[in-house]
Amino acid sequence: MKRQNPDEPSPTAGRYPATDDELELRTRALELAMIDAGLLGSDTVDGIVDHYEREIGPMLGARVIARAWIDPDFHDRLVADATAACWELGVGGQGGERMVALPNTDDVHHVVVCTLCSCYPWPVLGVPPAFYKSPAYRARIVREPRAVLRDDFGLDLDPSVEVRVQDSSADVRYFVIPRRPPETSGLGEDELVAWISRDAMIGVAEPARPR
Amino acid sequence: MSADLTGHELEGLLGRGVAPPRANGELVFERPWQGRAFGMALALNRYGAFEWDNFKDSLIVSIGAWEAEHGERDERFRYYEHWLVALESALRDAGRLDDGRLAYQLERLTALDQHH
Repeated sequence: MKRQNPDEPSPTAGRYPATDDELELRTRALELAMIDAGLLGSDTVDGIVDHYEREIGPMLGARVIARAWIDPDFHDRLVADATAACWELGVGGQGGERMVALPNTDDVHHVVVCTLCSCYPWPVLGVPPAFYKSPAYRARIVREPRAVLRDDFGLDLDPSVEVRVQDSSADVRYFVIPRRPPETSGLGEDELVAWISRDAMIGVAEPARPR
Repeated sequence: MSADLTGHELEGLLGRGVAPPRANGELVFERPWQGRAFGMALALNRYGAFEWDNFKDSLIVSIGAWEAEHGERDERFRYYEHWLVALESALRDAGRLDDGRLAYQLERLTALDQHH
C-alpha cells in the first residue's frame, strides 16, 4: 500500500475543479498514448465499452419500457412526460434532464439519431454505441432511414409503416418505446426486460426473444 | 480477468467504499469518457501493463485525499476522475506511461478541438 505523505499535495491537487471537457480530453489523450506505446489496439477499448453499453447501460431503460408494456397508465405518463415518468422508477440524472419517449405503433416506427454529435439519454441507455457516433449513421439515417435499417441493422419494415427519424440534441433526448411482441403476453416485468435491447430503444431493432 | 466484470466483482477487486458507482447493481457512467476510462483500465490490466494493487491503492489514496478536503457529501465528487488519476499513476509506476507522449497527444487534441 502506497502511503500518503501528509506533507505532499494530494495526487489530484490543482486539478479541481477540472471540467468534464478537460477530463474527456485527458482520457482520449491517455488512450492515444497507450496506442502509440503499443499497449492498446486502436479498437480494444471500443470492444470493452461496447460490451458494457450493450449489457449494462440499457438495463435501466429496459425496465422503464417493461413497466410501460404492463401498466397502460404508466405508458401514458411516459409518453406525456418521459423525464417525470422515469424518475418514478428512480431513473434520471445528467443527460436525462429532458427526455421524450416515442411510442412505436403498427403504422409508425421511430428511430433516433443525433446528427450534430452524439446526444443520447445516458440515464436510460448508458453509453452510446459506436454506430450511434459514426458519421455514416448520423448522415444516412436521415436521408434513407428505411435502407439503413434494412442494410445495416437487418430490420426490414413493411412499406406501409411510416419511418420517423428524431434528432436528439443536448436539450431534448429521445428514446423509443418499441411495440410489445405478441409472444410476450403473460410474461412479468422481469422477464420482459430481457426482450428489450438497447438497439430496440434507439429504434434500429425490434424487441427479440432473449438468447 | 475477464472483460465482463460485474459491479459486484469489481467491488471485490477494489474493496468496498472505492468500487465504481452503481444503480440497481449495474455500473453507471454519467459521461461517455467515464466508460472509456473504465474500459481502458480493464484492457490494460488484461495486458499486464500495470499492477492492479498499485492502481487500487492509488484510487483509495486519491478518493481519500479528496474526501478529506471536501467532505464525503460534496456533490462535485466524480468517481472516474480519481479512476483516471489512479490509472495514470499505476502506469507511470510500471514505466508504461511516457509523459512526453501524453503531453503531445493532449496538445494535439486540444488544437483539434479548437478548430471544431
